[in-house]
Amino acid sequence: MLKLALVDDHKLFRKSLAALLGTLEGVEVIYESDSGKDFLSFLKENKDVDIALLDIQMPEMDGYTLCGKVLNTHDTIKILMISQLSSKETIRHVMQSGAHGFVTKNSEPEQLELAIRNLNTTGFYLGPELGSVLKDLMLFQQGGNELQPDSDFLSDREKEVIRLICRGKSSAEIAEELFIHQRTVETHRQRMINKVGAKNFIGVIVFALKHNLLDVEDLS
Amino acid sequence: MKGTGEEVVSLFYIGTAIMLFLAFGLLFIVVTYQRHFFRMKRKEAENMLKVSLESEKNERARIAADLHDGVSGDLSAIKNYLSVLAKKESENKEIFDEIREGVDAALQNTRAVSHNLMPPLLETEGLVPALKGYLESIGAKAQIYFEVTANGAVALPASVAYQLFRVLQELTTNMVKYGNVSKCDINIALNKEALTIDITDDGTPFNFRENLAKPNASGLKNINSRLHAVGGVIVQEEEKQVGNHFTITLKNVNNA
Repeated sequence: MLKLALVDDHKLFRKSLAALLGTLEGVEVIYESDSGKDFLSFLKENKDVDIALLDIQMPEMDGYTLCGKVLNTHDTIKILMISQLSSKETIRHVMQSGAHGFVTKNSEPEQLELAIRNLNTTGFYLGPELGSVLKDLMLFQQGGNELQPDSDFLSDREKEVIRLICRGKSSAEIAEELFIHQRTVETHRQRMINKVGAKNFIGVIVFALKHNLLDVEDLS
Repeated sequence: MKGTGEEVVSLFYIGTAIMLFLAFGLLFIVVTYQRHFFRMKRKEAENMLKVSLESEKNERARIAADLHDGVSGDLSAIKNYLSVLAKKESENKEIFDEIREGVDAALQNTRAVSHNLMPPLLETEGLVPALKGYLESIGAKAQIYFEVTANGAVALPASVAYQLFRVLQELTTNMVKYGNVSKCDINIALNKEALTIDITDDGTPFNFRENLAKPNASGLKNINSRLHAVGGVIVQEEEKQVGNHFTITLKNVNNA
């Protein structure tokens, strides 16, 4: 069972989301609250939350701050930001906060399910919103005078792993496809995150795109 | 006798002089007072304008936030519940689809109205990103290519940014409605404290000043009073065969 937690101060929406998520197979909503502070104290006692869905605009503590605090103490929880806001600036903030994915509140239920499944298998979700901002970032970065890493900064094997992860494949599937051990895939992932100095794998993808180590086409 | 005659004459002159002096003094006092009165009146009117523009802004922001955070969230919640119901119920699929389409339309309309009332980026990111976002969406609908350029991050006081946004919104709405425009360039430059905005389009030329005098020119009057409130002016560059070129200038953006 995938254990989910919801934090959103809009009660009607939160209840409806819990009801919707409850219909998904293998998914269970174990906690819901309107306050980030309550969620943090809940986490002190309960460590088995797999995915936390956080709203961005909340009165006491906003979603970005909450996301940072959760990840500080529980780095295995995957965070999906869910918001009414959908501007590029919002999404940029989401990426900076270290969240693993983003969906808007009026996304189709199918997209929400895909996001939950992807967070579970690959550890992140690049929806249409994040994808388009990444593309923008690419255009924006071209002509920048930042130091370019060598083209062999990431090995061919590592790039291959990124491409497969971007297509939504789990570590087990990647291991099968590349004829390597699943643990090797995990090692590759972690090493890339460390090498780039990112908070999570989305950071690695942004880095690879920015420095032309990866094409936008590889994302889809 | 001669002595008294001279005395009378000099008394007369002195008297006249005093009378004249008093008369001018009175006149001077009246004129000064009147000028002071008018100046007070004008200042009062300016203050009234500022206050009413400010309260308009706050009210729009409040309604936009209520719509965006409240109503949109409620509608999204209804959509979620519909999905839950539709999963359980295999009959009435068409009705479910119809309702969902209705809710989607309501959501889109709510968002459009809310953004129109108060562009979401204006408060957080400032004039340039808000303008880009707004023009991108209306440009796509109206088939006008808007290009916004700026020299760096244009940091303006919130009230100034808001009024300028409204002015540019008014100008570009006119382009969409009557202008026959296919391309419009907006260049925003902030040098120290002076702000210049150049707006160039390739549409039907129109004379700002002449149109302003017409009784139904509420949009243009709106532009004028908003600029007046933040200490700005709009100038139309020489009329051309095709297109228009306006320049908005604010001498001191922090003193508005």
